[in-house]
Amino acid sequence: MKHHFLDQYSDRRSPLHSLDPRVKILSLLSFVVVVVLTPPLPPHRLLFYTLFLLSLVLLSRVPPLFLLRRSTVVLPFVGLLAVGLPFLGGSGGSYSLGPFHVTHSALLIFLNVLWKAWLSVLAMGLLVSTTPFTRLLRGLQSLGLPQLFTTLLSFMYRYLYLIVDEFERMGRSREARAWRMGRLERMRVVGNMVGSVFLRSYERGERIYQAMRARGFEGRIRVMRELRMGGTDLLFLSLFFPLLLLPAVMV
Amino acid sequence: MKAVEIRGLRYTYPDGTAALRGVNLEVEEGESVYLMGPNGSGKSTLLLHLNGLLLPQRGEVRVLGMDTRNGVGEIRRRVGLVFQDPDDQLFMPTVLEDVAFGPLHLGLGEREVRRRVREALRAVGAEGLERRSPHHLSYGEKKRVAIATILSMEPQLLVLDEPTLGLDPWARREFLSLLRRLKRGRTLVMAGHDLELMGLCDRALLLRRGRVEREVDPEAWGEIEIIGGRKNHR
Repeated sequence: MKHHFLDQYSDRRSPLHSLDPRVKILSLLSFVVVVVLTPPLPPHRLLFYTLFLLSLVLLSRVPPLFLLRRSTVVLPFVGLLAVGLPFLGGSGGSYSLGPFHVTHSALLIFLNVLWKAWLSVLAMGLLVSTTPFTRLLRGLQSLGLPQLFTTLLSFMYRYLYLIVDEFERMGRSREARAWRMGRLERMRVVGNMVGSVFLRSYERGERIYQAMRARGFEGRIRVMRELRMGGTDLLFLSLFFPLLLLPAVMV
Repeated sequence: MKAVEIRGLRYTYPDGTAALRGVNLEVEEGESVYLMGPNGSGKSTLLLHLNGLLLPQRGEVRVLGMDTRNGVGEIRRRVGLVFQDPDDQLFMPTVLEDVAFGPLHLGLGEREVRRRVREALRAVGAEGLERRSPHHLSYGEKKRVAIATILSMEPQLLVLDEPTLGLDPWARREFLSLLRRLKRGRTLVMAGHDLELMGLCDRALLLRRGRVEREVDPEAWGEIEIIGGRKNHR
């Protein structure tokens, strides 16, 4: 059984894949912060950021459609939150939509909220798709995220699929024996399955802890230092940040 | 010096299951011993005592001359225990990190760790898997990498629980020749019910109902009678 939904394409080769994870984390997080925190941008600046990010996507050789499809997941949520925004009033020219009046500035805010949310998710999607999860964690840790978090996440990454597999196997054996089941009955069975997955995971946790202790674990996980920044990393940084800040000095 | 000396070992689990009821066992250094026995006969419980993951409730366990009740740090350093389920054994996100886990926690330097990882992976024929996530390995590969995670600690005593369980005949054949190689120059204790694997060992013991019942001839692995009939199975 194969699952590959978390960091698909992260094992490809491209200029972006080969960068130090810390460089990518810092750059793309700054991108999100800059895009989100700047006041409502006129469309041509939004377009600039979009093209900027899309050129990184092309550079990464991750199939653009895959990333775009993934990033649109956020739109319904943000759309729901933002749906009232165009009607908030404000200054500038106004358009009328039947009984409603929509002002130019309110429309701009609406557009900005949607667009910025989408850009942020796209940027994070790009980060995850160009960095294997373990290297991402290593990067986060060396940027100061407490080891407790990174360790928890790394165990989650290791065992998530196993738990999903277990659940699927149980689901299949349920289907094999009881294919006609009322909704209530089905829910009760799913409840039992969740319970037994929890118990199995708990027991597995105990066995893993034993395996760790058997290999000298005494409370602190030690890892090798694997990250090294090189010339390309510096080159990337020295191109990325000026470009990111360029719209601020554009008229 | 004996590699393992166990006298009168008893162990009862908190739920009341008496897993070991007076085990006596001696293993010479350089010897390979197979613990044969039906499911629930106490094999795994016994193996967990060999590096102090369980401590004797009654009786005495001495490993490489050290009593497990007087501290287990040095014992764990020198005894490598390979668990039955490789998904329990391989808990790090990549093979490289997993094989490096033991040596790193022995406090070794990075260069030495890398050397040991390389050698351990070569010894089990798993070179090239370093970057892979254990989840994406085949079962046979997982089993081999699980052994590598222990070999990288360069243990004096190697303990394997059901090493060939669940392997297909092709993977199993490779695995048996791997174990034959590992046996050279090492003290090996294995448990399970693989009669062919038993044939590779110098000695074999029959464990039943929490006791070592008797010694059996490892060469006689073709004759199922040696382990007794179904009637007195457990």
